[in-house]
Amino acid sequence: MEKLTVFGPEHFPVCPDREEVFSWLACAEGLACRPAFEAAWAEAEDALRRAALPQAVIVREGESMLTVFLTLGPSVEPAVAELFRQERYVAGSLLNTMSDELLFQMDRRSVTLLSELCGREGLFIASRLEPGTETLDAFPLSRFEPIRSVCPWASLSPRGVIDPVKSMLYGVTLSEHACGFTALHDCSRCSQKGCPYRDAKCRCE
Amino acid sequence: MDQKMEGLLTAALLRGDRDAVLSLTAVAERDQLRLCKNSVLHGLTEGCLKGEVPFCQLTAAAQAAAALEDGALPPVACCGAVEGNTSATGQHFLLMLLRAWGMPALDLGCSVAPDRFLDAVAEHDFSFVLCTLFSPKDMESVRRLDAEARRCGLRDRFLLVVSGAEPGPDSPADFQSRSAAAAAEWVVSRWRS
Repeated sequence: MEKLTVFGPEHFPVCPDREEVFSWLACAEGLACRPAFEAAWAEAEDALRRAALPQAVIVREGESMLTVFLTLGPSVEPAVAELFRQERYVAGSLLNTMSDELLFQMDRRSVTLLSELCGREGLFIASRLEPGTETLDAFPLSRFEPIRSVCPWASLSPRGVIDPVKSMLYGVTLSEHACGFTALHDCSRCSQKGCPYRDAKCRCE
Repeated sequence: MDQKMEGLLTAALLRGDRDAVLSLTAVAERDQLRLCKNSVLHGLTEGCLKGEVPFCQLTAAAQAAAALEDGALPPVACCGAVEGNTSATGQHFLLMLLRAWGMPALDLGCSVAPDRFLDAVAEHDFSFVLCTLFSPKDMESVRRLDAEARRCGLRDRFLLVVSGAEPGPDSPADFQSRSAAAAAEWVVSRWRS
């Protein structure tokens, strides 16, 4: 695996899940406002397709750590802001929610791509580190610099806020062993270094 | 405005049907229309706070109601995402709700430094400063805003409203809520009193 791997837009089709988006908006069938949101769907989806530049940047650090940066690019948030500025709140809310749903699609897809990438070297994903929950030391700002070589418009604040907002950052640890979890597996004695479940009690207790 | 007209207008607002709203309001006097719009939106916002009316429904109503605005009104508050917060989503919703209530606010944008908020207060004599947060860490920026306002002698001139996080034990805000709808409703109720 290269130190820097980039998956471009061809790996992340811009196809927001209509029912999922409406579910996130709590815009159920039969609501009085549902027709207004359905009428705005095509415009919002078109705006998303024009603004989104989905890509994943994976930085390898050492033998057992990857940093993954997912982004829709710098143009989605300004497109949302412009719709709100024009007081086109329905389209703006739709575009905002669509972009979030697309980002989570990318998250799921990135796991598949990572698994394939690691599998070529006989490695497996051991654990996932989230910046919001893990120690700040796990994500020093210097770790973001290689990402900026691909996405120069991206930045990470000292508080851990990513710009552009429609982005996601997480880390994964790697292992030479696949997760051996079964109902009788004792996580506390597992050889998977970095897996957070190693602190868990034996699952068979 | 009679109850039937108010009911029709409410239905049109909820549908986000701008054309229907405009055609209905063509037969209503301007002042009555404003009162009706405010009472309708007051009911919607209360329902939203109680979880009875989905936020999406309020969004559609706000869009339709914005079309009824009589003209450019001077802002009575300033709103911005605090320094360090580059996300404009919470601020969008807050401005939208204030707009729907007929309370225009000056949009200061994202990652707004404390002195920008205070410059706006000094220049426009705003009674409200609304800040949106992305994470609890952003409270540090709110505390700096409060401290700077006290240092400049401006703190007594405005109410500080924070949206996007639950209040902590040392929050300097006059009102704080995770919900933009709750923050907007509190501000508007103070503005009208």
